[in-house]
Amino acid sequence: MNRVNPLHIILLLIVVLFFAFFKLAGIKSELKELQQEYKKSQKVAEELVSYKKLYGNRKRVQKALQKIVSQRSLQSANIKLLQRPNSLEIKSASMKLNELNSLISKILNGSYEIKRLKIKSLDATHASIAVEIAW
Amino acid sequence: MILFFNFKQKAEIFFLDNSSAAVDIGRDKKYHIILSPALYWIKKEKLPLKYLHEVKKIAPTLFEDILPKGEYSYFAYKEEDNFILFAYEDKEILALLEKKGISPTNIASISFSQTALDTSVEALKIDDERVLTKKEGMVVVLPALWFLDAQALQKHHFTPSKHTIKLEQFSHIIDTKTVYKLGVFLGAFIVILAVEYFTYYGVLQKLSQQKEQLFKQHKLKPTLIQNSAILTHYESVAVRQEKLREYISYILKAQLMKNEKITEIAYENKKLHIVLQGVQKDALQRIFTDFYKKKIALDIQEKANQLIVEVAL
Repeated sequence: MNRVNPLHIILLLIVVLFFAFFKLAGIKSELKELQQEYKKSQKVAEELVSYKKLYGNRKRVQKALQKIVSQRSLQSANIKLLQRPNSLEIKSASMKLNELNSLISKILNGSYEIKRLKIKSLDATHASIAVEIAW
Repeated sequence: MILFFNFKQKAEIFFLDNSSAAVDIGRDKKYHIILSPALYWIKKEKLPLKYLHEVKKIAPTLFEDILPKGEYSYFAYKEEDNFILFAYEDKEILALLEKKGISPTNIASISFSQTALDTSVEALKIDDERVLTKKEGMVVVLPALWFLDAQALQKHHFTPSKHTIKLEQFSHIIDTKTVYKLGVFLGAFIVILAVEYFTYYGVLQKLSQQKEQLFKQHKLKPTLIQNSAILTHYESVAVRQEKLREYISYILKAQLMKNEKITEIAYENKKLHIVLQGVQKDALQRIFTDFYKKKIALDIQEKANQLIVEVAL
């Protein structure tokens, strides 16, 4: 009479069913969490990529600033570009106020991370400038 | 093989009848239970059927005229051209076994006297009033008065039969068919849940891979936390840069009198300094109207002939 009782099998099946329900509920909530995390990751990735393009693109910043300072209208200003590991400094010991206006408006209108800025009036027509742009 | 043989030998014969003496047994002791004819109904029938399962199916109909009301199980086997059919009540046998001190775990097998009784014996005394005998091939219980020379019933008069039955312990509570149906239903439900689980698991794996790919594709850091920290940094940079440009525009809009001038504008460590000359402290509201309008805090210091205004970003 060592026979498996069918009611024991039913009981076992009920336990397995509860276990299956529990596991399914677990994986559903895990998936929900992962979907939310994925959406968040997508958003973070998109924003980060656009910010990196804006502030973290060394080549873009260098190229754009090089273009600004090499403009004919600024050639008499004797502007120097100092390269640093994570930044670039634009410096001029003396430049005319109209040149200063042109330079500063171009920098302020562009998407650069200005780390440091110093504009000092030398006399009624001249000023010195030092701007450090980071990436 | 020897072990199996020994194990088989361990089980003892127990003739189950209302008059059988109760036994006091240990947990491991096994019995071949031989059912007394008083515990079942028997029929010998010639039927136009080939298979036993077909015979078992119609067994309730064959017994319906003679059986008292109750929950019966049926058993059959073929003997030459005839079918030997049995009807018995599981509940009754189980109750009697319990009464005799035998639990289901002590049972090695259960067979009928019909198949287990040694055929060479004419009559065997069950008790003072009844004997066990064979009449026209059927093992029956008859009054002892008819067999005055009957021997006492002994264990060796029986040989365990190959025709054994299994008792349905819960057949009186729930029908076996219902149990199987329920089992199939639960099993099917489990399979559905398992399929659903593996479907979700597949989607989960795919999404995890997509998430890993997402950061790799954009050459970002491997975890969301690292990337979120970098994003927060960039967001604060963006806010500060916007403010810097906004504040410089306020400075460039400054309304200065003839003798007033801005000599220096500097930005470093999140602070903007403006150095003014020829300006009185109370004139600042006129000069930096926008700062005052927007209630931006100005830190003002007077040094010699200069006024130093500091704005935090």
